[in-house]
Amino acid sequence: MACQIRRDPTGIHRFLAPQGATLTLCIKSASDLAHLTAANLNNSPVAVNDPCVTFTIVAGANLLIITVVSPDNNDTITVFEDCGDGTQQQIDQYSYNPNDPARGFVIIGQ
Amino acid sequence: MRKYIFVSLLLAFSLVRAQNPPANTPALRPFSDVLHSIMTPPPAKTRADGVEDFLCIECNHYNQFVQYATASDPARLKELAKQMQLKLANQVEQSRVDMQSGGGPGASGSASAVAKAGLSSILSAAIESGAITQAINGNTINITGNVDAVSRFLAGGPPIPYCPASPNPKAGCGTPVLKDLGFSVSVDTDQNSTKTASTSATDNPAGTPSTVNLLAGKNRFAGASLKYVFRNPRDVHSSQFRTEWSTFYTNNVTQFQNAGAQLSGVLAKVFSPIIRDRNADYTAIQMRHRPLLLAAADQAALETQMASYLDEVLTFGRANIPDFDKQLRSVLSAYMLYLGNVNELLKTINEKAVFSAEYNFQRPQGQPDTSAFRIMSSFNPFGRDANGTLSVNVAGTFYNSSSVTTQFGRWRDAQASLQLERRIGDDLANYPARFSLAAYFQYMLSPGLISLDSGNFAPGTNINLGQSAAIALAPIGPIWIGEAKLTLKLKGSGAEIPISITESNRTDLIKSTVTRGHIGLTFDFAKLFGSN
Repeated sequence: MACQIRRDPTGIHRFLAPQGATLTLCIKSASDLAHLTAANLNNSPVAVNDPCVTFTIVAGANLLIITVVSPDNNDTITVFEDCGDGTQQQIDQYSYNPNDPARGFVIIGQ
Repeated sequence: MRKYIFVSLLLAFSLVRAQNPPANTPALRPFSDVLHSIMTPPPAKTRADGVEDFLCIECNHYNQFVQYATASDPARLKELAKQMQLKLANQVEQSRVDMQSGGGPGASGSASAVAKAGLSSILSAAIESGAITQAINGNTINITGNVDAVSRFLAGGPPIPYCPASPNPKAGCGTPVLKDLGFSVSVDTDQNSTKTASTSATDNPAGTPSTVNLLAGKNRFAGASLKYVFRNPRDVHSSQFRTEWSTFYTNNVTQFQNAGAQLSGVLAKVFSPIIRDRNADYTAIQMRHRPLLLAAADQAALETQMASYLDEVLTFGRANIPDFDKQLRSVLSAYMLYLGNVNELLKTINEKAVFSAEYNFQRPQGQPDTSAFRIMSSFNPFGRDANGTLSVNVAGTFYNSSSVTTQFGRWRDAQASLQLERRIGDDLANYPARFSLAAYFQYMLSPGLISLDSGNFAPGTNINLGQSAAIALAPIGPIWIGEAKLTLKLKGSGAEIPISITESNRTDLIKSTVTRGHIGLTFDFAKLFGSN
């Protein structure tokens, strides 16, 4: 199965994905100590299977919020799509901020 | 106090990082880092990257956005932060197991064979009955306090300082040195004594003596101590830490997940309606401000454009989401609680063993005054699992009086002891009881001494002593004590009831096996703060 998240070529939105697609996003950290603790999609909690979360895209804007915890305040978190065929696609990379553990992703379902 | 320091530093205000000068516009200061990343892009980044990062509030600027939104009401914000800090402080206090409220093993009334290394955050009191090493059971009231907190209180201020963001978070808050310094004062109660009272011969039956000796109780100052707490941070990159972190996270995964779910739930409630707006107004606002932000010629212009964008998003939120400002404040509260809860958990794993040192002046009943130096440590022997604390003491006691030391030597005894304590129940703060087993060893380097005042006769003679003296009663040698203790926690009240039983081969004065029960009531005033 190919990766389903793609960058919006128009630049209006960040990410696009097919409506109804089931996506799996995972995290990994430079320290290898970080954990995915929670996820929320469109104001509903989503069960996490640390370090991944699987959810289904609906039409329009989807807001996925994840929270991450790491004992290393200088950690770097990479978020990637697990494409299901042994491949991965990096979606985001950011410096872990222990004072703001939440990260949001807007994915437009088309 | 260090628990408060850690939590306080994590309040939402602390997002302002120190490495870049703050934005000139006060409300924009939470975005100072973003501002500077646009003005001076870091390597491999462009100005456009910085603008995109700023425009994407939902990406990683929830907390900063809420701070910007509430900056117009700083007094209310500060009050909210104070309330959250007190709530968190109370949670921290309720979870503490490292604090020594009662007297140590040398007190005439004590329920603890081993002293813990931690310090009271404000003030605690204990009344305990039963002796550990002493020959005579007693009742001792022990008051322990934190020098910094008590001095703040006496000066009319709050004992728990409010700690807003600091440019040097490692410095913590509170008065240096004093925040890690504790004291204790002990008083023995109901010491048996007699009081001579005159009788009235005319009002009493014939033969009544002119004076009678009545049994009376009295209190006496039993000792005082000073304790200083040392701590060391942990190396998160060590292999030992990695193993311990893995175990620790597994053991506390539910709490981490609950904290994350609560925070993400509150964020989603506020931001989902903005992001998922059918008319895509939020996207339109972003697109309208993108070129303006890119075109800003200098920092002042950029700050103006940033504030303009944030104001427009706020206007949109207030127009379309009921009680928007109230919900923003709930986000701020959620952040504070998350940071307090999660980072308190992280603190448990991030700290090495707690070390403290104590000087203790003791006035045992009927014995010469002594001084004791004690080094204490509390740590977790099970891979930093929060439930299981080992406390270790090493101590030495010497006689204060030169007249005693001339005859019997300076050092009275050396001690070593350890205690393993576990909470009963998994909840860090609201557990019902703790159970501990302790072993205590004391070697009497000098014989056990008793004091005789000047009115007594020399032993075996009818020669009046003429002045105070000490005589040896028990030989030198080892004292072994085993203790089992159950400490009942009265939830939310700050009160605890320690109940223990000890078995020893002898006491300091009497060489015979002794089995004794001990009970006490301790009260920690710090647990009351923020409990409502």
